[in-house]
Amino acid sequence: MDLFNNLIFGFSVAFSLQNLLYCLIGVSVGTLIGVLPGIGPLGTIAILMPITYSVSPVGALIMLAGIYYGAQYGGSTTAILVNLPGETSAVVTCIDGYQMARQGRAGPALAIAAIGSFIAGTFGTLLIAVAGPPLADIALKFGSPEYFSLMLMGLVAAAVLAEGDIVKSLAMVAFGLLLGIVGTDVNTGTQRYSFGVSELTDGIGFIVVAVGVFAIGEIISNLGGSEERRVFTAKVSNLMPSWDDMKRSIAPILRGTGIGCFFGVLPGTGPAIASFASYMVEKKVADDPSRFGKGAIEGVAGPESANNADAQCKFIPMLTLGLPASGVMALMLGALTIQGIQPGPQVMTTRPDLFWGLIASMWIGNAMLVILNLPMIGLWVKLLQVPYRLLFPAIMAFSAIGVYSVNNSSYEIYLTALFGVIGFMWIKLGCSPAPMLLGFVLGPMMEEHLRRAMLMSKGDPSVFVTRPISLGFIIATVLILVVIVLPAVRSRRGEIAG
Amino acid sequence: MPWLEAVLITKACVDTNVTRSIGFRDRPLTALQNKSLWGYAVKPGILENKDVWAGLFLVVVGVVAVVIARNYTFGTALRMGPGFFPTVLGGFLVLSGLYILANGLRSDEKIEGSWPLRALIVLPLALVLFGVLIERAGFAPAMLVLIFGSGLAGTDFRLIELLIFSVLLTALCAIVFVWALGLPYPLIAGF
Repeated sequence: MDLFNNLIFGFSVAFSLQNLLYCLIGVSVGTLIGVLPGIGPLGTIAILMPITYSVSPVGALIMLAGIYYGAQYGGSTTAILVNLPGETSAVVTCIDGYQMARQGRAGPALAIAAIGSFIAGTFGTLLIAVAGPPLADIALKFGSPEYFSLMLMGLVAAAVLAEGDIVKSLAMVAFGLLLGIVGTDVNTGTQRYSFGVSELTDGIGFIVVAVGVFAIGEIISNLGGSEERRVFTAKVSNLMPSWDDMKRSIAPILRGTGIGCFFGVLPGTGPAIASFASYMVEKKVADDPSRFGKGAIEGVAGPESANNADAQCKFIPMLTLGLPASGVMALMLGALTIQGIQPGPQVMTTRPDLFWGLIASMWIGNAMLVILNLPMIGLWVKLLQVPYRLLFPAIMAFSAIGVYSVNNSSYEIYLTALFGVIGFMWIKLGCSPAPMLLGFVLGPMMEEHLRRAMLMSKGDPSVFVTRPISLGFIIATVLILVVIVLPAVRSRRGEIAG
Repeated sequence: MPWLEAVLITKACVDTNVTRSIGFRDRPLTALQNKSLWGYAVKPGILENKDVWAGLFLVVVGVVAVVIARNYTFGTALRMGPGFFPTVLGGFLVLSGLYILANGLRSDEKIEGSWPLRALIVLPLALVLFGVLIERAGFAPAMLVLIFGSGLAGTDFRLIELLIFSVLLTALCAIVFVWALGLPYPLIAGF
């Protein structure tokens, strides 16, 4: 049993005292920012990434991953207790979770959310372990044409399926690719878009863009909105769900897990889509759909499982193909590169400790979250009372230290400020900045593969459609575009005719 | 393709922007207001038009990118020069920017919310001051100025509270980052 041995090896890595500690720090920070509105996993991971430089690559990834899925747990806590989704993925949980809390059943709602997430997390972990190696095996045979087509598909899918206008998202991807080009061209040594600034010859720092857009830009945007204050009313007593609750939840949890795993592997779909799909399914299969919206426990169990399964499965394309399926995964990819590890299918064979250790740690982290969250609910809710007027200066401080500590360069601080303004502008104009980050991370690699593919084929662009795997990716890309864009065009035409 | 349909539906539901672009919501209303089907006429609200600005920015970035890329070798299909990829990307930015711009003229969608001008000026300024101070005055003054300065970006700050908070957080950061994590920054320059 290869799988079994690999998992045992993974657990032996993850159970080292150091890695357990990183995992605990990760999930605690994750829960914290999940509870606090106004700061998400993207910004937090970007800010904390420089701190992980001194940590081993395994430890760094374990911690950053913990922040990511920990935030999903924290987000559901506030959704249930205060009707405030700490993260976008928890929006659906608000519907029935908050109703349950108002009926004095906050305890069972929280418990089911945690149990469902844990079950989903376990399945997600298993799926990565099962699907990862064969996928990586296939990917090892990829040449440059395949990689280029794969990245093209990933970027197009991410842009098309991401929140917001499709054309804007595609444009943001292109903008990100352009940003990624800045610096010295590896093939010819030409300086591109560096405007004679010596600091730009190595390109724009990954942390600079991520912190600028997702931490600073987000703060500026938040300060523009009116701050909503909600009073915590529900009291949490009697955490244990009743036998009836458990019976009702089992099927939704399993269905939600399946839905989450499916959407998880698709690029661009955030956990919000998975949880929403699960909610719709539960409502459809329920004997009495009218209970939904009035505190149906299925409406908490399904979506909460779905968003956690989705979060875990997003790691599959990142770890096996080196393809980020979401903004957070782009950051993870950046973290790997910064640690000196070339992402891609070879990671599994060259750094098995990293792959299997990370997978095992995700299961441990999920268990920690259940233990951490349920008894300490009161503490997390108290944190909600930290006013934003004190929170955001603190975020600014950590951002500045994070960016400055990378190269001890003031220039990068100035660039971060600039990207904060740019990020705010994009948010304001309805252009989602997450696709930009994907483009930025993949830009240099994509150009490199394009050039290499053309060299290989002696300048014949048909190489992308004559090699079967590459052709498959190209067809998929076109299909995604056609299926998503056509209905929009058709309805627009119908509207003009009407 | 039932699964793609599922994606479509859920995406449309989650994401109001798409419902709008597919034409479920605002479109009929604006079409009425425009009084013309395509509504390409320039309207007084153009300064607040979200998509016009977005498109304009993209076009400008695209044009600048292409113009600068003219200085780099374009190369041939066999040996692509450093100018090839940026030119293609810039061209794509211009095209999509124009499309978004045209769309904006038609849909006339306003930029939502108020402009946090204060935050937009104060926060970047606080960062710049941090950058200047940490090299010349040391970690502690840079942090103090950054935290206190950013606090002023909000409209509901309380002066005394913010002052105390800045001092406490600076001390905390000094302990965690300089003392415990050993970042090589002097607390005050010269010491």
